[in-house]
Amino acid sequence: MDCRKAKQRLSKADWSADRELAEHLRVCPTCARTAEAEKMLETVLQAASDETYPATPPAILRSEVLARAAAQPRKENIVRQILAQLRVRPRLFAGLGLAVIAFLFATLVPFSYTITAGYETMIHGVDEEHAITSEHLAEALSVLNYENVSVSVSRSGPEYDYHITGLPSRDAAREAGAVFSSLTGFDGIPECVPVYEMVSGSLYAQVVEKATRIEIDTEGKTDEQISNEIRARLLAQGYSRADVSVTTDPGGERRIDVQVGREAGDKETEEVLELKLRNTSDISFDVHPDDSIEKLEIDTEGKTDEQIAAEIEAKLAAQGKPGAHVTVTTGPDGKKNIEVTINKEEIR
Amino acid sequence: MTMNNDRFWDLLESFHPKAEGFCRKLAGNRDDGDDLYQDSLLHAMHKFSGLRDEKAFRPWLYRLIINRYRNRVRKPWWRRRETLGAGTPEGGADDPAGRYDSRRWLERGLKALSPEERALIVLFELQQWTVAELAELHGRPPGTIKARLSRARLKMRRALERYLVHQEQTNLSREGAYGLPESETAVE
Ligand SMILES: [Zn+2]
Repeated sequence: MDCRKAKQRLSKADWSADRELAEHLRVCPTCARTAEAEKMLETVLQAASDETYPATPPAILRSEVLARAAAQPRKENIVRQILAQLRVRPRLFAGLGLAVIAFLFATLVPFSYTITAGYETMIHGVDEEHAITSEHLAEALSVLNYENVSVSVSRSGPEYDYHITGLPSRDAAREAGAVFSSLTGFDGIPECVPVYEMVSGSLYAQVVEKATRIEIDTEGKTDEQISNEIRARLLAQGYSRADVSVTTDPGGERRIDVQVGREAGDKETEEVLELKLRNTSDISFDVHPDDSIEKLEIDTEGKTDEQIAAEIEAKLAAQGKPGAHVTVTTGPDGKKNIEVTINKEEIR
Repeated sequence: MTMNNDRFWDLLESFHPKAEGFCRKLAGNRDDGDDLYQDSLLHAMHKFSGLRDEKAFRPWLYRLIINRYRNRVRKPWWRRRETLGAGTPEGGADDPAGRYDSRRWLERGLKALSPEERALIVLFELQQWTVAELAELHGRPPGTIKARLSRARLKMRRALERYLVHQEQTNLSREGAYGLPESETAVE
């Protein structure tokens, strides 16, 4: 049998019983490979046709398609929307280093989810000796510059319970507790409780709410080491995908790009991410006030926290963002914390 | 519009799992397939009022899906997504290794096909459509469909042969022993 004839027979439905053909395949490696490819094709097609996956329930499918219809005109603008969402986020954190906010595409699927609406601090069992009025406490808390903080006091038997609400973060809640303790000398432990709120929204809103923060010590590390560390931390936090690139420009400034994805159910969602780096010599961080990314760089050498804050405010104002409120604090470990608050109205 | 919509979903319900599976197989993975499916349904909903004969609903929808798939394949952004999704084929990482491998080989074969051929193979080989049904879908005589099917299969087989040659070569060079197989040029 020649190869031409062998190939013809190989195209027939059932050639495995063909003895003449089998003889040729034994001696002709070319036709043998064709036969192997044919068999493999048959096998993989068979395997794929046997595969079944659970279909999306029609009701869910329908709601997803309708959500898509509602989202369609805005879809191309999604990056702008996410940026707008970020703008509402009042704080950008920066350690002594870079704060990077990265995001990816997020599908607009409406659903309900809980957000942490704020924090409350409760101080229980304060005796008469340590008690102060709620006005007094509220006034003391006002130095913290949190809006919407309110204080209530209730009496249970001989003791008082204090309830501080409207605190924006866990740190704020701890601070409020510390303010109470330092004010009164009370040594009970304040209790910080997150307040959850059920909201309806779209996936990207949830993405913005559930930001992840990662802190990496960059001292003496190469770009590659840093990027590996960030990636490892992201994967450890349950991201299924993390593309991290760290580069250092000739001026010694590091640039970090992060894209992450997380599998939620069978959909991959994207998340917003904040990175906090330590021990680089300059402070620089990105803000996303507009579509363009602007960068602030400030030399901190020999400056006080107030001077740094004033300089950041001035630079932000020069970039068309007057009214940004900046606080710079130095922690016990020498690490600087910068908090930038830009009100939404002041940007647009 | 709402009445119309209800009718659309009623008609879809009977073959929805099949159509969804078709999209996933056509796109090569679940995420892209679901995206293709939803996108196609959205367009189908908009066009539904123009459909005269409800009996033609199924072939009409499949043609629409194939068209949208073809448009996507030609768009660069979809290509980008495709390569991104290539690492996680339908079913994801928790699949037994054997099936993943089998899917990879299948994808190698399917990659050799045009979007139309790919749709034909998926429907015929993976979804058990008959030649008569395919002929109705495309408005072509059964003979034409048969010829297209066997041409598509041949393309797939040749693609797999090329990979087999490549594999043999890499194995050999890794073992560093026997040199190249004699039959490299005999494939085409
Ligand atoms: Zn031969």
